[in-house]
Order: sequence, then structure tokens, then C-alpha cells
Amino acid sequence: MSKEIATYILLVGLGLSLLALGSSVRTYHLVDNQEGYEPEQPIAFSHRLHAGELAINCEYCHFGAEQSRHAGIPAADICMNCHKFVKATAGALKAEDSKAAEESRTPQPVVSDELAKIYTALGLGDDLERDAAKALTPVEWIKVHNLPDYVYFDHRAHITVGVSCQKCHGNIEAMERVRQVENLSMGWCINCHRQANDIGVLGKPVNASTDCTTCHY
Amino acid sequence: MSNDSSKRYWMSPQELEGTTDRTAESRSDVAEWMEQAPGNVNRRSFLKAAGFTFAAATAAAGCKRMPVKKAIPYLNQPEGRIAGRAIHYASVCDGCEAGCGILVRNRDGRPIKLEGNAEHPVTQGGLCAIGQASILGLYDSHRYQGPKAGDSSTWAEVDKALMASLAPLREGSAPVYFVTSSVNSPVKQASIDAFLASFSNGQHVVYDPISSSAILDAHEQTHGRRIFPRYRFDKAEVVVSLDADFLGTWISPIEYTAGYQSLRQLDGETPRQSYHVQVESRMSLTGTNADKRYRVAPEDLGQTVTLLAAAVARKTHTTFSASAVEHSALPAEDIEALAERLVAAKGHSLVVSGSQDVAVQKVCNFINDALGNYGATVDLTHPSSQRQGNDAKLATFVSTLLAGKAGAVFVAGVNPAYDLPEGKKIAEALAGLKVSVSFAERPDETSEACKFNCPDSHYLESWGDAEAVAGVVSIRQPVIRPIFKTRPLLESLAAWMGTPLDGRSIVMAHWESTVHPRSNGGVAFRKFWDTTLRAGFATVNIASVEGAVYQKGSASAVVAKAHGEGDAFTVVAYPKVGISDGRHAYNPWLQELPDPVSKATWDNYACLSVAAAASLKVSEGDMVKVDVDAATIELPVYVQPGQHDKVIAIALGYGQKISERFSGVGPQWISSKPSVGEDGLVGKDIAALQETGLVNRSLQRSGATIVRSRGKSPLACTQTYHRITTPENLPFSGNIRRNNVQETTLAAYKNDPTAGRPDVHHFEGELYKDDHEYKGHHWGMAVDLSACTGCSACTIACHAENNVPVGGKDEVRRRRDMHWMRIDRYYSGPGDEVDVVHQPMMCQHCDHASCENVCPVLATVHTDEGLNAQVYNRCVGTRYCANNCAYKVRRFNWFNYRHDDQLENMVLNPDVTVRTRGIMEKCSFCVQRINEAKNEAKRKGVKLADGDIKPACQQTCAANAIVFGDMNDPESEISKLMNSPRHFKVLEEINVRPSVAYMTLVRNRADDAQHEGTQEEPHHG
Repeated sequence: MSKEIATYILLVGLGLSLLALGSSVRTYHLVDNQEGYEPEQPIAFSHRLHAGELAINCEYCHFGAEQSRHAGIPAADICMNCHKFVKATAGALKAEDSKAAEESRTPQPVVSDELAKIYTALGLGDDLERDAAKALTPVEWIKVHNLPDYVYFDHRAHITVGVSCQKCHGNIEAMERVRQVENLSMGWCINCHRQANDIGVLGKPVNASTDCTTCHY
Repeated sequence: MSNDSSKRYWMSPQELEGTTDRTAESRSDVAEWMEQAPGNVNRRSFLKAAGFTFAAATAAAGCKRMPVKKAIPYLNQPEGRIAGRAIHYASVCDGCEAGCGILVRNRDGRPIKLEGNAEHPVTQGGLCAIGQASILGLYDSHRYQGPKAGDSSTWAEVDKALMASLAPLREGSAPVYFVTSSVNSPVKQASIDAFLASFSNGQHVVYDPISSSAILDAHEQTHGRRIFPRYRFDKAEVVVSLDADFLGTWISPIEYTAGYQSLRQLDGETPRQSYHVQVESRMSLTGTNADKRYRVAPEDLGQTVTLLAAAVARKTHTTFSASAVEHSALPAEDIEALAERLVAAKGHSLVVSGSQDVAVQKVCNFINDALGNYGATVDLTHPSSQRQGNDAKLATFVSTLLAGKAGAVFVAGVNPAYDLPEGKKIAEALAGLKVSVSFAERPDETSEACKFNCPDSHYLESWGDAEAVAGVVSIRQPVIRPIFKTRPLLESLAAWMGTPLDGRSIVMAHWESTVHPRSNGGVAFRKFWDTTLRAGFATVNIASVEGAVYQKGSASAVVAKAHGEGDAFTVVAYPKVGISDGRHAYNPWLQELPDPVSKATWDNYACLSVAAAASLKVSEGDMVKVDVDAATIELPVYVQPGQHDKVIAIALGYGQKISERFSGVGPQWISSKPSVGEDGLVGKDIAALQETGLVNRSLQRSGATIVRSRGKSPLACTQTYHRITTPENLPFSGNIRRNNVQETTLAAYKNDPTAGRPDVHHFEGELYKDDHEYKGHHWGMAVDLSACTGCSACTIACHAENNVPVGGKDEVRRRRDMHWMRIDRYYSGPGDEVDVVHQPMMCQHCDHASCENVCPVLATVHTDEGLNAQVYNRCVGTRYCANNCAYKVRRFNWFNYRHDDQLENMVLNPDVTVRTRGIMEKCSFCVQRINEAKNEAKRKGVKLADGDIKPACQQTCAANAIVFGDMNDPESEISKLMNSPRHFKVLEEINVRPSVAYMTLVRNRADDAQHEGTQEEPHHG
């Protein structure tokens, strides 16, 4: 009798654990696979707006991509090229305008909350000039696409032959917040390299080496 | 055809005698491990533990994410700076007074590597081991982190306190001393002069820890000017060096090496080699490279040079009396022959001496004058500022200080409390002074005794300049903000003169007023400054040196110095290539660098010749007591073939306070032993053995006795392991000896360019023809044994470039030194009359690599470009590859080395993975540089040019001994060398097809007396 109960309990237990396991199979990741990683950033920068809607070239901000191993996170002064003038959304400005008209006063300057973070980081005063009294506080972005320390990826080599940014970073111009869409595993890299060697990139033959020392040294 | 295969090479005297303790020194790693394996772990329990760990790791892995990593960009992007791209800044090295031009490689705001500036007209791209290692000093967390004077620890407070103490001295008669080493920087000299001018009795005392004041004094007496000539080894067809280690440690080794090698070019239409004779008492690095070498006691140097002068005089129709000389240390006919060669190369010869005897130097001046070398190989019109030390002035300073009559003492760049034999008394006297100021970067014997510590910034943090050789001025620019609250000396002096200025303004103002007017071409100052800053140097006019001609009769014969009586020895203190005078003894890279000749690390020791060691019945590691004049010092013995039998050579620069830090260097584990001695220091201070009260401080002292004392202190010598040996149980058929080096003579080489090549087993055909096709590049390297001086700069360059860890003395003793590149040193010849060969040895990137076959996890594989790749993330640490490597170049990480010192980790090259415990590593041909160059070429859409890729070792080599390139490019330099008749491969007969070729060593000798053994029949397979 007790043997039977024990068997049932064990079976139920096994079933439950299989269920538990089954639900996590889809999201089960190998070590260091961060596919789907979509951390919240200190500033809600929208790639959808900048790269998608406004169609700003990726390399306007990530100018390292064609010259360096790293694409680089743009410095805050690059934002200021535009955001010295654009301080809030058109909607917010219109709202303030109509509100001011309603209250029959001159419209107040409007600064979006997110942009204010950049101004604070740069230690700017209300006139958007450097205020020496204010501290400089660099923006601490969360890195989304991480590779292990023993992997050396070089943006420059890929950009030069014409591999698109989206090939690895996904449909970035549609992302409100950046998400890692590929698993960035070695198998994934090598598949692409093999394919490139077979069919070329943009119709041109390339030499995408699959030697270990291409990435590991 | 010359056949040298019968010449026998050996690495230590014990090996030659056949008494090598093979069980202790030459066993494989596996044998050692099998003995050390703890007995209580059997296979089953090991598998159980391993299985559990694996399962646990797998389970844990699924639910673990990477830690959150942050990317913090600039707020305002500096122009031209791109994350991940290196920027090179031209500057000038301050590792010693030689002032070599350097390029500082900066990555993301921090300097990570120094390279020689190839455009620099004096040093031409070379950089020595000390220069390469000096970058580690920047990230030294043991530096002074700010000023200190009593309780004050801010610059404002310290300045105020110092000014108050200095005020009464301004008008007083008590001398204010500023003690420095030779100042090669015009702006620093001007600042010191201006500062001292604000005192009524300000005096600048210059001394060099390794003094060359005799050369300056001799020129004062023979030429009427106290100047140090620029020696032009690049014009000297015949070089006679009397105890001057000009390729290793003397004055400006990089400049001299580059010049020396420029006249030793064997490839091309007319092979030529300068003729180099070395007369010396110990085996110096320069001596190992000499075409002819004589072992002469230091006391006999004067006689030798006198006899040579007399012989030269006879042949040049001048007179020089040598009648006072009774006996000659060299055979009379050799002196005649040497004089003959010198005279034949009139105006293209050079006699230099490292002696501190003014009389000897004067005779050298006479010889150089008689040979017409002044104005040619001895340049007085472009004098050097690399040595300015005045020992007479130093003596006055020391006696005034010790008498308590000094008003104030400023000490910069030297450590008199350690450097000088009176050191301890000096420290006491300094402690008793009201105003004693030290600029030392890190605590040393002198700074501890000083009241005011005003630490100078590291030279990579400061503005400055250098004019090491008159006419070539270099700017030093900061490449990082000061890491600590230190202040450059220039700024401190400016502040104390009441005109606080930043370093850049000080240097610019001086250049505008003094250097710019000397420039040619009439460009505006700002443009001149910008161009110079970018290039790192400028060539300017110099004030003419007038009246510096040899005054007849000013040199006279040097009578023999008295030898010590009977069995007395002479102590010869010498600088080591890595440690030099000891100012860099804080540097773990240099401590771990094997001495180029002895191959010992982390220690100084009493070198004895083979014969002397035999007569004293001592061998390596035995402790001996050396006594001179009541001073005693106890040291381990090192048996150094080629040394004079009555000489005890001991290295300077050890036993310093700054080596206290090494008590915990290297991995700490249950059986680890400290790298420091019982007194907590690395090596022994030998100041007690040095003579006081000399006019010119000398490193030699006669009348020493040596006796064996109790015990042993094993030396951490790298040469007896990692070596290529033939196992005793595998004798070769017949009488073939497997020599890893080839050498011949110039005479034989001119006759037959393949001279020196033994007949080895040549394989014909290949078993695996299509194994590797090498359709693109095929990387290869050639090392010219004739050019390589063994200076070991490459070892440190590799260390810096490839994040090689430091293990400490105990790890080196356990044969776990981590250098990717070692320089094998072979002796040949009997007893103490030896020849030396230096052979850089690194991974040979074999086409049929024996390591690749045995790796069970494919962690070491062959690439399409012929590299033997080591994949760290695959390696599981079986060490099969290291066992199977014929060249013994693989290094295993037994520990996780150095990760606790965050600041020191800043020096790590971000382009090279830092290896963890359990990983095999080895030379990668600097694959990170290959990839960088390839990607850059791809980006620019150009073809990779020959010479675009220079591995760290090739870049730093002053002798151009290393060439790297694409063997598939028929026009490349490497292809030409690979087809040179001089090239050979090490262990060619085992058919692993190495990608590294060596060029036969050619010595400028006429004799071909090397056919001692039997000629071998060619052996074909």
C-alpha cells in the first residue's frame, strides 16, 4: 500500500516537474545566450523614432562602426546637434501653445523629461549652455549585445563588405527599446560566414574566414 | 663546404661536464605531476566529483544570465577618438638617460604599450627591455599618491611649508643642493638653473648611478672640454671595446645596437661585417657578440690599452711610450694584429672603454685621435647629454652633507642613499636636515629620509623634452592625466619660484625662446611646435664646439694596477640588462626577465668562472661569503663561463627597499615560496663592497676574498629547462649531433653562403599533400642569429603586448615562467674560452604541428594562413600539446595570475584575452596585430603591404633581427629570407615544417678551425 502511494506521489511529482520544464524549454538558453534581452535604459531613446521614422543613418551616431572594432555608443554631444533645438515633441509643443492661447499668456518653453536627462548629464543650464556649477554625469547605458571576453568581433570588417546592421541587430528601426534578436552564438556567426563564402554579400564574393583566430585570440 | 655539425653546444657548465642533475632540471611536466599527484584521489572518486560538477554546472547554466554590463560613452567626444581604435602619440622614453624616441599606443584614453619611433634619427625604432617595461611604472599602485611633509598632505600646504623653510636659505651661505642624474632635458636643466639662481649658493650636483665621469674628465684633460662624445657605431668598421657593454647597458644601447648592426649586413651583393673585439673581465652581453673576446682582469686593462696605443702609434708615426708596461695580458702578436686592423680602418674605427680610470680613458682618446676617429666615429660636435655626472662635485656634496653643512638638499631621479657606498650615512644626514626634498615617484631609501616628499609624476603623465644627442630635440607629451595627486617636477619648481604654471606652458615657453631659434626653415613657432609634437622630434642647429682638439702629450702610459695579493679576487659590480642601476627594481616584468647571459631571474649572485668555481669547489646555488675590507656579503654562486678567473661579478640594483613589494608576488598556494630573501628584499645590496672616497667612482674593487659558507640558495635560472634536448635513451644513429644553431665565419661564408649548414635529414615528398593549401597569406618569421644580440627587449615587448603574467621566483624555479618568447643561450668551446649564441625561440607555427595532433578538444588548430592557433575558450588543459611540442614553447597557466591589483590591470592589452587558470598559451605571431592590419586594409580597400604587420618583438628590435611577413608574397622580405642560403630551420629533420627560419650566425673571423669531429655522410630519408 505505502509502496503504491509512494509510486503515485513520485509519478505526480515527475509529471509536475516535466510540466515545469516544458514551459521553460522555449526560453531555455545555453550559457551566455541573451537572446530576447531587452533591458530598460536610463533614457528612453527610441530607435523607431530616430532610425525608423526620421530615417537618420545608423552611422550618424554609431560612427565607429565603419572605422573601428566597436560601433560605439554616441556621446551626449551628438544628441545635442539636434536637441539643442528640438527640446520636446511637436505634440507637447502644440499642447502648450493651445493651452497658452486658452489662458491668454505667452507659451512656456517645454522640455521633454527624457531630453532633460541629457541636459542634466551635460551639466547644462536653462539656456542650454554649460553651467559650471552643475556636475557632469555621464549616461550609463545598459549594454544589450554582449560577447564573451574571448571573442573579438570587428564591426569595421562587416560594414566594409556591406553586411547590413539589421543582419545581426534585427529590425532595429522598428524597436522602441533595443532588444537582442539573434542569439549571437558561435554557431550563428559561423553559419553566416559559411553562407557568405558560398553566395557572397550583396552579390560580391567575400572571404569570411572561419579560422578560430578570426575571433579568438 | 664548411661543416660545423661536430661543434658541440651546451647551456650550462654542468651539462658540459655531464653532471646535470637531470632528475631535478630536465624532466617533463608530466613526470613532475605524477610524483606530486596527491595519493588519496583515485580514478573513481575523481570521476564522481567531475560528474557532479558537470551536472551542477549544466543545471545552473540554464537559469543564469550574464551580469549587466554598462556602456558609458563620453559626454563630449574628443576629436579623433573612436572607441576601440588605438591612437599613437610620439614621445620620448625616460627609462634612462638615453632618450629613445617612442610612440605611445593609447586605447580608449589609457596608454597600453610603448613602441620605438621608427622615424627617430637616433634610435630608429628600437626600444630596450627597460623602456618597454617602463609603462608598468605608470600603473604602479605603490607610487606616492600625493605630497607629504609632516602632517601636510596637499600641495598647497606642502608648498607653503617648504617656502617658509626655504626663505632663510635664500640669502644664507649654506649651500642648497639639487641632486639629479644626468639631465638630458633642456627645459628641466633650465628650470633647475633658474630655481637654483634664486639662492645665493645654489649648486646642481649631477651624478650617474653607473658613473662614466672618467670619460668626461679625460676629455677635459685631452680636449679641454668636459663633454661626452657621441659614439658613432654606425661608422665604425673596427670596434675595440674595453669593458664597455655598449650593446647591453652602456650609455645608449639602442642607439649603439642600431648603429653596430647597420655595418653587419650579410645579405645582399657584398656581405660585410664590422670587426668587434671585446676585452673584458666578466661575460657581458656585448662580449657574447664579439668576434674576438679576451678575458682580462680589470687591473690589466690599463696595460692592454697602453700597449695597443703604442702599437697604433708606431703604425701612425706618432709616439706613445709603453716602456713602463712590463707584461701584457694579451699576446703581443694579437695586439700588433689588432693595431694593424685599427690603422687599416683609420677614421672608421672606434676604441671605447667603460673604465672609470681617467688614465685609461685618456689613452683611448689618444688612440682615437691617432686613428683620426675624432670627427668621424667619435663625435664631439654633437655631444651627448646622456652622461654628465661629475664625481668630484658629488664627493664635495657628500662630504658637505655628512659634515652637516648643507642648507637644503633636493633629490630628483636618483637614490643616493642606495646608489652610493656612503648611502646609510647620507640617509642619516638627510634625516637630520631641516630641508630635504625628494621628488621620488615611489618610496625609496632617500625619500624615506627626506622631510618633504614632492612626488614627480610618471613621465607618461608629464610634459618635457630631451636632447640626448645635441641637434635632435624631442618633446615628451602626457598621454594620460596624472593618476595620483602627483606633480611634475617642472611644475613644482615653477610653483616654488612663485610663478605657478602648467607643464605645457613651461615647455612651450622654453621652446619658443630657446629651441625654435635653432630650427631651420623659418617656420612660425606654432607650426614648428605642432610639427615637432606630431613627429616627436626635430632636428635643430647646434652651437659649435670650438677648440676641442686633442692636446698632444696629454695621455700617458697606464701602469698596471696592483692586483690583490695571492688568492685575492676582484669584485666587479655590473648592471644587468633588465635591472641596470636598480631604479626599475620595482618592476616585476624586469625582475622576471632572464638575464641575457646568465638566464637567472629575481636575484643577484656571485658569478665565478668555471675554473674559479672548480678551485673553490662550489657550484651553482652554493652560498659564499665575499669579503672586502671588513665588509662581508653572502650570496649564491653562479658559474659563468667566459669570466676572468680572478673576478667575482655581482649585479647592482638589488636589495632595494622598492623590492619589498615582491613579498607576495605570484600565486600564493600551500607550497609557494616568496620571491624575496630573508630580509624581505629581492637580492642583496652590494654597496658595502664598493670603495668610498674615489675621485671617479668605480664598480671594481681589488683584494676580495671568497669562501664557501653554509647552505644553498637555488637560483631561478630559466636556461636549464624549456630547452630542446635529445633524450638520453634515444641516441642518434652514427655520431650525428643535433645542433639547434648554425654558425660559421665570415671567411667561410664569403666562400660559400651555405657555410655552417650541417647535413641533415631532408624529407622529400609529403604524406599529406593537400593538408593546408594556404591560398591567401602564409605567415612566416625569420630571425637573424647574426643580428640578434640577445638584449631581450623582444621578451618584454611580447610580455606587454600579450598580457603575459608574472609568476615570481618560486614559479620560475618550478619551470613555470610564462614568457612566450625566450632567448636560448648556447655556449660552445671548452671551459671558459667560450663562444655564445643567442637564439630567440618562440612558437614555430609548424605546418605539421605536433601539438595539433594530440589536442583532444581541437583547442590548437591550424588556420588557413599557417598560424598555429591556440583557442583559449576550447582549451581544457590536458597539456598534451606542451609535452608534444618539440620546441618547448608552450606555457600553461597553473594559476589565475594577478587580478587583485586593479590599477596594474590597466596596462592589459584590450586586444588580447587574459587567460585563466588551466589554459595553455603560446606565441600567436601577434595575431591581434595581423587581424587589425587586415581589417584596416579591408576598410581602406587596399592590399595588405609587406611590413604592415610587425609583431611586438620585431617592432622593438633595435638590431632588426626579426622579420615577419607573408611567405606567399614572392616580393616580401620574408620570402627573400626564406630563400636565403643562410636560412635554416630548427629541428628540420623531424619534418614538422616550422614557419620560423633562422639565419646562420656569422662571426667575423678568418679561421675555420671548427672541424674537430668527423664529417658526416649526408643522410637522406
